[in-house]
Amino acid sequence: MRKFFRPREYFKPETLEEALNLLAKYGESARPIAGGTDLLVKKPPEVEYLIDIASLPLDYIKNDGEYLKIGSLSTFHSIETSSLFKEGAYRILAESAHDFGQATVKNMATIGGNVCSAVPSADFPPVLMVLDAKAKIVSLAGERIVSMEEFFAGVRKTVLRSDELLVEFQIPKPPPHTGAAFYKLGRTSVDIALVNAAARITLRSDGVCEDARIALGAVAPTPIRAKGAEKLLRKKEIDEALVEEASQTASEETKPISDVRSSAEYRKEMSKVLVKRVLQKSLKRAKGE
Amino acid sequence: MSEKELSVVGKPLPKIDAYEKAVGKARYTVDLNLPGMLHAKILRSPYAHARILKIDTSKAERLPGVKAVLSHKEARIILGDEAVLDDKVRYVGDKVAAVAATSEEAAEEALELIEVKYEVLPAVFDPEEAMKPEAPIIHPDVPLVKGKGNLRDPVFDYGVGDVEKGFKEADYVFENRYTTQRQAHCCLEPDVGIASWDPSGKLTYWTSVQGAFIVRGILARGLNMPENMIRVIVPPVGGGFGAKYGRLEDVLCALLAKKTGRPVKLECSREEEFVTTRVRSYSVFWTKTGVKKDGTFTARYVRAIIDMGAYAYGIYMAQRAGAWLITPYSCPNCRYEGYAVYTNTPSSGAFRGFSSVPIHFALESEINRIAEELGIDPLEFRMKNRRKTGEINPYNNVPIDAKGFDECMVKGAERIGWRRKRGRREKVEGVKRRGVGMAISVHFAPALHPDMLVPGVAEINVNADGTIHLLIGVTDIGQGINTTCAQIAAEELGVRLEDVTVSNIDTDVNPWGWLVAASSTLMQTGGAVRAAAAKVKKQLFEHAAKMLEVPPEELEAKDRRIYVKKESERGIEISDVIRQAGAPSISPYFVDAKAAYTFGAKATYTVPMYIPPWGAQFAEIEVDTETGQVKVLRLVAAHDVGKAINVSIVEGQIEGSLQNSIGYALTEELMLDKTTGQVLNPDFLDYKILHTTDMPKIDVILVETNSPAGVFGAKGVGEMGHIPTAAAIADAVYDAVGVRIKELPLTPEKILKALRER
Repeated sequence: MRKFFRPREYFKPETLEEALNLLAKYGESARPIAGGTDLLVKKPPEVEYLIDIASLPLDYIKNDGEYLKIGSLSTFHSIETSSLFKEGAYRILAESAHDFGQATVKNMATIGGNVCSAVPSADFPPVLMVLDAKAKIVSLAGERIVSMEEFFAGVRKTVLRSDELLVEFQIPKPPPHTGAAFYKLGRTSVDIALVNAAARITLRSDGVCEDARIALGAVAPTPIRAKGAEKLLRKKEIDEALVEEASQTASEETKPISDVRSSAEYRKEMSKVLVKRVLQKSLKRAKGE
Repeated sequence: MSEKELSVVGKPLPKIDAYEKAVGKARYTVDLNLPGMLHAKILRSPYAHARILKIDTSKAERLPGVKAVLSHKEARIILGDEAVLDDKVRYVGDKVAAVAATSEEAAEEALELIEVKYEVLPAVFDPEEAMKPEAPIIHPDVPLVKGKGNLRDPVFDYGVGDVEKGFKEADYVFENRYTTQRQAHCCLEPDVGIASWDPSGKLTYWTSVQGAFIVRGILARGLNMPENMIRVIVPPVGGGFGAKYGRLEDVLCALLAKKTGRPVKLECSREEEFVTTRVRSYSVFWTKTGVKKDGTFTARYVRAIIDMGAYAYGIYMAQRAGAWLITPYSCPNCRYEGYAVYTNTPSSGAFRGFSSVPIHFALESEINRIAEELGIDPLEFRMKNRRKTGEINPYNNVPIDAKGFDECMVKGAERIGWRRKRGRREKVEGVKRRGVGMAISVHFAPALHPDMLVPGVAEINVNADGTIHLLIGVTDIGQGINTTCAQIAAEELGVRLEDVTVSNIDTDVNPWGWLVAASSTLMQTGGAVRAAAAKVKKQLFEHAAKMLEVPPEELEAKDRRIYVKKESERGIEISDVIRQAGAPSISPYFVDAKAAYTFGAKATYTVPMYIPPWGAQFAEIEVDTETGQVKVLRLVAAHDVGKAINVSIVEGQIEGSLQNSIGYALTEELMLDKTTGQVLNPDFLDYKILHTTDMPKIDVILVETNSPAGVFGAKGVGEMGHIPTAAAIADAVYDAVGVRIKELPLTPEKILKALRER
């Protein structure tokens, strides 16, 4: 690996419009850079121009009652420590940010970067998927909203066009009696996930499962929803046996690979363990236990 | 030793260089830049085994900024079994060519312009495969055992008694196979050197190294130069752990500087640091043990297969590992066979706990297993078989001093709650199980081997104001030897720690010193410091005695003052003694001049006998039986340190060793592609060391037995904490879930597999 990454040119736009103009102008050969913790480590070969978006006003977290809105420049640190994520289903944003790694990287890395890099093992995508988050994407041509589920196209690939910028995540208010959980399995406390899993369960007042969402990372080219497992849970009273069955089904929905970090078999097996754990915890939280 | 109370030695004083390092102001070699300096890069082999048929450097030479390119055509200088640059490569990452250019970018770009035609040769990556007669031969020109492939001659074969007889006398014979993995040192400061030639033809070389004089010797031999024409300077060193004892890259850097006439800096990338700096070897141990029903050993046998990788830096490991079979336990029949084998993999070499760490995992794990199978508590088993003071150690035929061994085991066991916790299979949170485990350690103290019995040397110069310049020949690589030696000098001379300056090494100035290795530095050099300080003290007392009108033997020195022992108010400041020793003159310059050459001394010290450092460690762990993950909850490390000259430094050395060795037990492994021999994880993303957040609660117990071999009673402690950890953790895993993992590291996948097969 070459040590040096000198772009042909480096821009630091002050306004969104300026940034979008640059993106439109340079296309595939340009890449927005925020924290730089992915991009500077592994430069995509086609990238010649860097557009540093750090000055744009996209570092915010706010709740307008209907939606929680997270600016794409929000860092792991600010998400981990935000007072908006202390309880309820949203807390898994803070919990996954907490598990992310070292403080120094948490101070630099952003949620937008974590999602747009589209690394299969990234921690925010499964969390955002179970929270039913949508991405607000802008370009000179206008604005579009894409759900997290439709956002990823492959390993390090997304539906973002080269002239577009992801500016905000919008997360709908979870219904009452909703619990969520996140679990990351790493080799040490500072690691990328061998497998990660998130779940969100909403119960009816009679205790029956109204909705269930399960997402996993690092077990397929993109983060995935375990829809078969979800289906098993919906409209049922969830007991231990059902959790076990759903976990097994979720594990069967994964398509992991073997690499230096883990074997595919282990990832598959851990998918089951992790889904079981996040389901158990989500259920507890939904019940207010 | 005077009977006065110690005032500097034995105190937990901050390191003398703590501030500059803590605030990031220390300037390491990697931070230095000389005017006009060029940057060098090395082209490394993509093949594990190949002959270079053709190498064309002309395009690279024409690239703007490139000042020199070297290949084997100019630099086939062979030292031992390795060449500075060779026409053959023996592992993925081996040196092929080198470039010096005005910038690192230009040097990197030039590497891509060097055209090399290789003839790819069959390669072998496993030492047991490499010993087969049909294996491709990696070094046809070195002595090899006939018919055994790449097995280096000689095989090390030694012991005591007759093991075959011992196995016949045994009630039970246990056999097993253990393996340990490649571990990388992970020094924060990568390997680096800066070479600069002056017009007289003298070479100055700044480098980050554990043995300045060893590097000077390598440069002298590689460049065919007299040693007085080479000056090696060692700025603060960002970690060593065995990685930094001089490399042929040093010669390469000097050659590039010579060819260009400009200073050249050669710095390893992190990837090169992982691949090329001589890792802890992959090792295989076949063990066979005979015991009586009551747990008495009748015979112990080990065959150790040490993977040296491409070059033979790890051969000493095969030679010496048998010491740790023979030394710690009584057994009338022991035999050790050490095989050192070449493979087409990164070279192995020295690493904290050299020769000791891998074999301790095998032997201590096997002892835990045997104790369990005989129904004897592993602690009792060890207490029964451990060496006793006065027994002859058959390894070196010297009586053993086992003072401290029992105390380490007893105190450690008590602290972890051994009797309460062992064998309980404690359940927590449903799927988690807890267990405790133990292992012991013994290691070098320099006098174990005659070739390690090198003297420590120290020189003390006294300034007119009573402050001290201490010169030693060994390097402070972060272990704090400069501080420890300053404490020794201050104690002996009766000055304060801040009165002593210890200069980093400059081979033109400092006295000779050996490597920082084998836990010997304090014992050798610290002894010399005290001897030199004692000589200076004698000089001072002779002058003070005249001034105070008492015989010198009635004097004592403390806190910058020399005084009469029995009348402590009768005394004189050391600075006054020095000044008054100067010739009376109207000019203060002349007074100081006389004073400054009146006091000063140089001394050597050779450790008189082998007194082992002993240790016992206890681990409490938790296994997640669904994920296979092991969490270390607590480690108790009880070590006989003889005497802690600086309690904070000693504890720090043990804690650092624990961090290093928990990683060895659980997560650290340099992994190779089995078909290409390429290192798969040469970065911190996938070579997993422990972070502060992974560290368990640590209890360091210092047992002080006052060794007669070491200065102020000290023993070497730099490596001890690394040695027993992996076996203790593996034993705790067994205690928790009933499976013994025999292949390090103890990965979750191995544990789950063992749980399924149970």
